[in-house]
Amino acid sequence: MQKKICLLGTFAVGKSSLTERFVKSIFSERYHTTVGVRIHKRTVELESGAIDLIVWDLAGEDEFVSLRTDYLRGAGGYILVADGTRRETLHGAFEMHKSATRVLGDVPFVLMVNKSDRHEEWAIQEADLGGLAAQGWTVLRTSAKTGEGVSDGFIGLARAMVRGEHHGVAPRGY
Amino acid sequence: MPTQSREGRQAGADSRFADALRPLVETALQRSLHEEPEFWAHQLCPFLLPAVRKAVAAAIHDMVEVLDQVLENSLSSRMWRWRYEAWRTGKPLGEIVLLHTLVYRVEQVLLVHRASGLLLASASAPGITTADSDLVSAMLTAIQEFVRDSFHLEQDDAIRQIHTGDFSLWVEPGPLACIAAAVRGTAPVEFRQVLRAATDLIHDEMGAELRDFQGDSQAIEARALPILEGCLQSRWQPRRSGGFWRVWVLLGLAVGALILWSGIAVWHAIEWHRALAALEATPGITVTGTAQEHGHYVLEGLRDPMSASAENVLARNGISPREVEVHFQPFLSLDPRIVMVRVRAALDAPDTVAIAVDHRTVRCSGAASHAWILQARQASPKLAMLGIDQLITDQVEDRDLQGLRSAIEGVRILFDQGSGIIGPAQAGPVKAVVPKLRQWIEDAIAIGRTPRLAIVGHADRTGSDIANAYLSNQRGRHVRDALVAAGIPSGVLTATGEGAGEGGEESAGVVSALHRNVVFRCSTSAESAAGERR
Repeated sequence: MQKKICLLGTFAVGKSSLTERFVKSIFSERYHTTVGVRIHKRTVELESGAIDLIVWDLAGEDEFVSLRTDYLRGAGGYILVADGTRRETLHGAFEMHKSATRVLGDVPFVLMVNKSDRHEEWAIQEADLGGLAAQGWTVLRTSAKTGEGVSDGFIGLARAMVRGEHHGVAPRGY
Repeated sequence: MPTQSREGRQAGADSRFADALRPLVETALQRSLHEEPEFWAHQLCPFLLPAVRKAVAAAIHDMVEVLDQVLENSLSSRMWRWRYEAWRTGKPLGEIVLLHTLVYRVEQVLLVHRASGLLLASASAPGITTADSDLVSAMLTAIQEFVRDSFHLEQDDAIRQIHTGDFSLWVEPGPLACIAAAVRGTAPVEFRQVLRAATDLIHDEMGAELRDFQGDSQAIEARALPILEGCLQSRWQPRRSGGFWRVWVLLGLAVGALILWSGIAVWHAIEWHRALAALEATPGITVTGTAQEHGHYVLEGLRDPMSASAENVLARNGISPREVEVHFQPFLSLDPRIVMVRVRAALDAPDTVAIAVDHRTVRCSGAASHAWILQARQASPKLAMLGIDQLITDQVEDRDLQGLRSAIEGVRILFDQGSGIIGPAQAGPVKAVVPKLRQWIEDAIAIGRTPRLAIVGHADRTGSDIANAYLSNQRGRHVRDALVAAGIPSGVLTATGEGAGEGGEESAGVVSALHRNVVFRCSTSAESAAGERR
């Protein structure tokens, strides 16, 4: 079983750090700046068997680069990444969520709020995240540095995709 | 394109029809074969036998061709050039050969789900290692999207070919999945039709599965794999036909080597048998067994310690001692030649003595000292141990005895004219010769000879023959009497007179005086052989 998932987030939210540490890749960082996407692979073990996640790591969107929504086609789910120390990245995640919903419809996704190891510097309030959770979002506090929450994010999204569940279904262990 | 699609659909329909008929046909054939095997054997024989012959001939041809190719790869100058190129460029030899001989080869074929970019199935040429195909599949899709987005192309437009160096990627898109083929070299344009037919066939046969694809590609992969493998085509530069001359050269060399080896083996066997014959002819050596173990010979037998060394005999006949392992037990040989050697050693015979062995008798000849002859005559017990009953030394000249004889025969007792009387002038020489005579007689008897001393008187020619005969006889008798009186046994002595028989023409009175003499002539004769028996 294999599933395509996309990794979305604005510029410098730590997507590359997440992928460098937790997925397998054969393509260099240069693909981000040329083609606008890097492809990675992460195999997760679920109760139903192993599932290969083909991770499309889309280049971060900023004022100069817009999201190539064509890359979203065929994805079974996606991961939104925000930087906890920069509040505007959460807004970027919202915008990307809208774009993804337009292309993919209602598919499973998770929000990873990165840099949990620097929690004291966070600009995103717990209340903001609580509000999102109340809306059915699956929100994870992650750290590329310590690995906190990253595996849970991938496994939870994989499990949700296999079950055919949509957002709002929290991965086990949350 | 529509024509190709129709062809693909037709092929799909045919395939389904064949699948439906297969169980029925198989059952009918199995039943007929079971019930009428002879009928089928008769029907099939005319086809099978030529086919078997052809297959055997083809197998032999293939074997020769493979051998020729191996030889060419090992020996040809072209291959050595490629080896040098590989060494110079640091590339593997296989890659260099591939570059020089390959027209094209499809190294990998991927079946990619168009919507998600997920890999549905893949096939690779033998020996090709590929990166993660699922990542390549996704990246290929991303690039397709990138190109479409960058150049504002329609959704159905797709990259169909990418070239880089001698490598190209052929993409054949279908509505739901596309086939991507990685090609090294230059594939012919017809290859596009192959890919198109494969894509159509996959869509015809697996359309529903492709539409409902949710990430589980197992079912699609199993059915699509044979189709993808059909796309793994390749073409190589035809080999230059040389009539398999390398094979013939190799066979010739092999036959030559075999002949050479056989010749050497035969020559060596002849040499070995010749050496063995020489060894068996060597006195005192008896070969009881030969064997060949681990490339060297093993000899077993008996050897008299007095015989020649077996290793030396073999070496003289061209067999190195390193080639032979000799296991000889010691024994006493009765071969006359060995007995002779042993007797010579026992007697400590000098080189001047020759020894001949005849059965149990040893005959010595030549010359030796008186002491050696005496010692030899005392060696009977020693010889008896060697199986010798009789030793004959009659023919050995006693050098010491010969010396005494010469001294005695050199004595000349002179007389006055007309006198046969032993006066003071004669008594002196007679007395002087007595010890020599006694010694000579004793020594002769000691070695088994019988001594005879002839005392011969002479006269000069001044008188008549009758007077001279009388006078010479008288002189001889008087000397004999004098010797007998001195103790010489009379039985050994004989006295005669020869008148004026000795000497030449008388030219001076001194000469005539020398002719009035008595001289001695010594002789010995062997005693009866029985005297020397033990």
